[in-house]
Amino acid sequence: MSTRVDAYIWAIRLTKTRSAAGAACRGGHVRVNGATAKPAQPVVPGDEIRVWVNGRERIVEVTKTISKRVSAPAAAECYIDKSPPPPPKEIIAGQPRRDRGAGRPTKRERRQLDRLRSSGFLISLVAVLALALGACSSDDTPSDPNRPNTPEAPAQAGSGPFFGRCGGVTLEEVVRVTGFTGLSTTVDNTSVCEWDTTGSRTGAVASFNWYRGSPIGREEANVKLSRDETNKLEIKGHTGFIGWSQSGQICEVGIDFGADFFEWSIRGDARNPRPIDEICNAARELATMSIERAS
Amino acid sequence: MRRTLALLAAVVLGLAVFAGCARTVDGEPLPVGAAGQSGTSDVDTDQFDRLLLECEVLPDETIADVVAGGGFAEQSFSGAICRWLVSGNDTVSVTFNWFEWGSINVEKETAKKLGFTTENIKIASQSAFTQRSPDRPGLCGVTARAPSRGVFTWFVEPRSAPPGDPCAAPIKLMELLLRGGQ
Repeated sequence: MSTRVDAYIWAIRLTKTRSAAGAACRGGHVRVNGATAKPAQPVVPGDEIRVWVNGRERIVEVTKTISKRVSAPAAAECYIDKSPPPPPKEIIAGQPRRDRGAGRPTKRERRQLDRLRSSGFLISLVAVLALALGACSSDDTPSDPNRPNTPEAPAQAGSGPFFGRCGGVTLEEVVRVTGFTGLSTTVDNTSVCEWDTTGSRTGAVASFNWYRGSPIGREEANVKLSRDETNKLEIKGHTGFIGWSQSGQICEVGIDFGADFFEWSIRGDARNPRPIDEICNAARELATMSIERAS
Repeated sequence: MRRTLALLAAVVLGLAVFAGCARTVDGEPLPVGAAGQSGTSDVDTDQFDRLLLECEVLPDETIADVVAGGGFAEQSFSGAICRWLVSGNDTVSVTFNWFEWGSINVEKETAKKLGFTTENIKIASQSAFTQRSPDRPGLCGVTARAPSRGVFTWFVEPRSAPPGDPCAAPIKLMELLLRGGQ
């Protein structure tokens, strides 16, 4: 079922009014699948709409067509927001802006502006630069003690590959790679598959963990604080970490995909210890399989 | 002339902003080893809130009560994904995720692509959805927007398929978590 693009962008609240939606189309600010759209252009699920509003580009993928306003949560179900994050506050603050309601500059103001641009522009440039550079400093005091310098998402959640059920790996393959005989599947959901030899986590256990929209640094920090050794790792051009402890017979491999990552965690049977290299090799091989099979 | 100057200034600004975030890393460059490893992890363990406390969302006894009517819950995996093994009348695996950059839409799309059927619901006034697998009737997961940031998901997987609504337990866990105010 299709709907008009102007009605759709109004219904999902990209524009505040229906007439602004039509005006945006007529002004050439709306593109559907890359082509400039007229107001009556039909859209169907799967279409990509790009709208230039409020000084930034919004990119949405249509998942459900609607032409009337519905509640905000219901509207949010009708599209996937793929917009790039807005520019940092420092950059926005650096852009000159007139007060609301001040209208067009008068002749006198224009002459003043011209003078400012020819002389003071370089000075303000330096000020903007200082602000922008200051933003990179990692010595900023955290504004909220419960939320120290928590990193911002480098991309949209879920923009990494689709790893499929259990990271694309079957029970038989986990048995073959780890050498853990008698594994059975104990957890199988959207983010985790766990295989266990005893069913009560008292023997060998393997798991694939898929984090969509989570900083890999958090998991790496967890591993670093709880394992004997944690190193940087690269597999097939993707970076990540590998952490292990010989006494715990555990080895964990995490691989970064922007805002997403996955981790293979392999734990041997403590009553039957093996060289940790064997366990880490299994974790690395399973991670390689997940990377190769991702879509 | 003025225009050229402005253009030049803009280019300089652009370059400076990009170059401004580069930083020098101390230490000897290491060759990438046969196993793809290159030196010790240099992750900053101070930059994450609730680090090592991600799974401290509900008391273990509460989790055991809700999913197995009592018994014993033991935490088995921790971080942004947490797991518990509950031994009571039945053995039940419980998974909890906090994806701080995550979104409801991404979780729902992923669930559908993995063959789960989803249904939108409300829990403690937050929009949420359930996810069920047609071939595993005992299994149910619930995802809701997290009040702090990102999304929460609970999955409850009993080893047997007990009678009754499989979504009751994960919905109850989510409700306790959201009402507890995290």
